[in-house]
Amino acid sequence: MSAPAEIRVSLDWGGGEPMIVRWLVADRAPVKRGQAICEIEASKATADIVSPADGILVVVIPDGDVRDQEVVGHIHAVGEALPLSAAAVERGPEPDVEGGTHVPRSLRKAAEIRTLEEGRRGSLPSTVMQQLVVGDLVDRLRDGGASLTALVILAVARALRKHRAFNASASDTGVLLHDAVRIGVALDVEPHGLRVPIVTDADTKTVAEIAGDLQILLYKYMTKTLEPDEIRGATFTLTDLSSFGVAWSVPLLVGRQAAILGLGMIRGADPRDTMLTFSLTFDHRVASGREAALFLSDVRKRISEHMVSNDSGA
Amino acid sequence: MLDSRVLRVFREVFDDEQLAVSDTTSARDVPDWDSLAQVKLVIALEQEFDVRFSTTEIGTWACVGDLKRALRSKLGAA
Repeated sequence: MSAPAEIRVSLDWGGGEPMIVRWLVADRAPVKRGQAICEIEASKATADIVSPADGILVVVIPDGDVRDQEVVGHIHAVGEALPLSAAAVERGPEPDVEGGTHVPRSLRKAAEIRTLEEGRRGSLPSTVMQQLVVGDLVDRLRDGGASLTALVILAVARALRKHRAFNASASDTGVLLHDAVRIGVALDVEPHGLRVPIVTDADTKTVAEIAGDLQILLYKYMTKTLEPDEIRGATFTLTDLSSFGVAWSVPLLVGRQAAILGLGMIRGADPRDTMLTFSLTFDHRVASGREAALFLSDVRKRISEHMVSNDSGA
Repeated sequence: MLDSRVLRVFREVFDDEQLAVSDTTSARDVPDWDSLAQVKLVIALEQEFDVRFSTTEIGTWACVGDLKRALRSKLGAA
């Protein structure tokens, strides 16, 4: 039995954020090599994806947002056993409990699930945690016009320069250590949904500059004006739930990124007891638990040093 | 007129009908004034006054007075 041929999105013909307009051939229908099978739109232009082989079309992504080079379907050889249809997988098994209201999954949520599933595929995720007592640092940063998120991004970006395995993309055959440090910051404000805009070159910036970048990205996120290059190509992700009363979390790997940091906070009865929690989920194919602990210790040390060296926190 | 409209926007964004702000009020005077609230303020002011701030202007205001000066500049130039 041969591996099915992959049907990939390719933006050779244009840029922007691609989306599937429609499939031109029904799921599980026979197709010919070179036959137009799917209509894609990006930057208000449309183009067809053609079948890479003769065989039976199996749709993986029925519709909605996709990414460049993402696999949206397969061509199986005629007579080969076919996997469950995308619609069946999407619908899932019938629930045991009768009654209730079925809420269709949004395209945005479906895209989020695909990204997280890609992170799970083949990876060996593991999570390590550390804590740091920060006292009134959060308030001092805010009063100085900065933010905790900005300081953590700075500390992470500089630590990534030293611990390169965590600024990487893993694969089955090796690791790509990225030259650029591009930290994606998960934003989820009602009703805008989850987006992960990117702070670039944070290791070369000040906390105030990063806070300014975050402000602009937040504004663009809330006004839906983020550019494609501002949400594509993150090399590491930060998910900061500290302002939501979350003590700690176990984040999921994103796409092929080797690591993601979750930030939580425990506020003590005495403000001086306020404690940050850092949860680093990393791909064990790329680094060991010891290396992950060293990376987190480095991040923590940089934040501690900042607290000591800068009374205003900014 | 501008002052009362700005105050109304602040009260809506911070969901506090008793909130009072002066030209010297800054983020450190309002407990919930964080980076998210700042962006919500900018967007609400843009809608209220039908103006657009550039991304380089966002975050450059240290206090309410700065914000009002930026607004007056936009409205005067319109």
